[in-house]
Amino acid sequence: MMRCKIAREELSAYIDGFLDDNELQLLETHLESCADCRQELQDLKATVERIASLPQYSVPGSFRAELRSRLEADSLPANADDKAGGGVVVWLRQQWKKAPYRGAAAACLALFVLLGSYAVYSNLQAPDMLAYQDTGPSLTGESVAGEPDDTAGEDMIASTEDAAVGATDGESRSGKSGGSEPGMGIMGGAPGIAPAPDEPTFIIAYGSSVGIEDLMGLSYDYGWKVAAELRVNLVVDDPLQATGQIEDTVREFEETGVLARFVKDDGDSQRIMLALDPGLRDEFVAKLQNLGMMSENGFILHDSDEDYDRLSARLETLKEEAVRLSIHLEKAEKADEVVTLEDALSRVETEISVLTGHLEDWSSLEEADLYVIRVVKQP
Amino acid sequence: MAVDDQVLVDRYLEGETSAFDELMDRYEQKVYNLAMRMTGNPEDAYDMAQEAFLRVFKSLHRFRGNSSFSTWLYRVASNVCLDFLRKRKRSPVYISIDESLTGEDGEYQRQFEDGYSPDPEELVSRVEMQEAIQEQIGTLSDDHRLVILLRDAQGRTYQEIADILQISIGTVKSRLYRARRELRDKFTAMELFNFDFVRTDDNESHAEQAESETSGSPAGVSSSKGGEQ
Repeated sequence: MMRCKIAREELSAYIDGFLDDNELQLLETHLESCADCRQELQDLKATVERIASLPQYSVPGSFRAELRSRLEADSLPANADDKAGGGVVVWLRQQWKKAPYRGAAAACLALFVLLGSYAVYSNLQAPDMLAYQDTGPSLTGESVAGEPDDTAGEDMIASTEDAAVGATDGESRSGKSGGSEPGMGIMGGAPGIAPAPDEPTFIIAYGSSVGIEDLMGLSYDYGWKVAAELRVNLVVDDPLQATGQIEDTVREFEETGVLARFVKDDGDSQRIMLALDPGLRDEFVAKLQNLGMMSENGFILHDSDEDYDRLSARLETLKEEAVRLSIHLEKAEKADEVVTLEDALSRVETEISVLTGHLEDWSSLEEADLYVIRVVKQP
Repeated sequence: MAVDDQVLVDRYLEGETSAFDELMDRYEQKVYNLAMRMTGNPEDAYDMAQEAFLRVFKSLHRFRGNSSFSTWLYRVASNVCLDFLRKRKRSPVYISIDESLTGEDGEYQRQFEDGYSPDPEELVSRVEMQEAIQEQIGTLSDDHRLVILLRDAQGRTYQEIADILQISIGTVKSRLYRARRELRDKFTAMELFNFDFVRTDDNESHAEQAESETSGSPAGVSSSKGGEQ
């Protein structure tokens, strides 16, 4: 004879016709002899009916049109966000090649990294990440093409200021104090060792696809407190699986006291703030090591085809721009016009050569490279 | 026989715009309603539903059909909502049916699935009851609310729910039972079972009546029986 306790567990599935023959027979026999369980069944049925009887809301009329235009905007070859993303990095590389600017470039890179780290931290703390993301694109520089009046130096200043503003905004919107943290120092333009408020360790992967389980494993193995990833693109056959993994991972991180936040999940990639060009990886890592901010451990990186395609598209645009500028230059007569155009052309050509280098490097990147960036407080 | 979702997905990827509309015709309202009842307000529901569709359409080229399109869509939508709710300060979800009726430009007007439209007095009680039901659903935990919505509001099967939530069938079964029992207790406490006008299949007379009454309610237009005025 089935007991009530067991019978009740089955009632819900019984309503849905989800019992096998054996279970069904046992339950029905029990129901015949048990008025309480019959009552329970009736109540559960009524509950289900009431939920099922709720009216449907109609979808706002603008819904589909908005979705369509957002999808179309996204499918453009290089959206503003991404295009600008390479900008600061490209600029940094350009400056790095010019000896007199090296100090500035290094400082800027350090600042950029600090801001990024801080931004990651802010993100981790911020309950409302969308607000912060809105300022994200401003972190990135302007592309040089099509703006012959700008100088590279101005680009740099503008982008740095934007970055500072962005980070400040993010912080204030996050409602997190942070004012007493050393992190605030970077706003004063004094780059030093990373602020990393309270939490000394970040994992940063960039321009890469990172296996979620690798990230998980690292955090467990090393007992790190903070794990953050940048531009992690998942390569998976089954997005359903991937989404589940990400959600589960975040949950598991949180359960173990590890802060993790995947922002801007668009189905197959997760992003946080910094957009570092993978082509700069070695250089970037070397500089961080020089600055004493880096220890190397491991991380599986591979690069996304989308990034490659995006940069390739950018390269094509730049080449067209170079052609256009050359034609103008040939026709130009006034001295100042010639100077302006030559200047513009030279910057476009520089970016072309940098980008070409990146794309060539791309194929030589190994999947097994593992990078962990540790950010420690200054003694 | 309706075209399989996967066929529409393939067509969409080949650039056929009508496939987009067909997929949206199938799932737009389902996803929006799920988001509506998960988040509890039209603005958030709108954003979450947009987000879910954006993610799905943007990564559609990676979709290999290892699971069905609808399962995947529901999964993304569920995760979007759960994630949102985690970030949002926890507060009971409460949807006022009135609010939905008086939404801007009637956008959020509720809609009777079958064009059934009761007389005004009955409507008042009915709306009150629906409001109370929704309010009680809103007090469930996110997990319980989600499973009960997927099953009882959206009619997903146990297997689908298991796939959507990536939990075992056994977990679906027990979670659903707990959620229903919890809601049963709440309904009993609210004396919701004393109302006796839950729509049933033999409500033919009401359905006929609907023809004349839906004219005042633009939200009723897509109902199956409510028709041309």
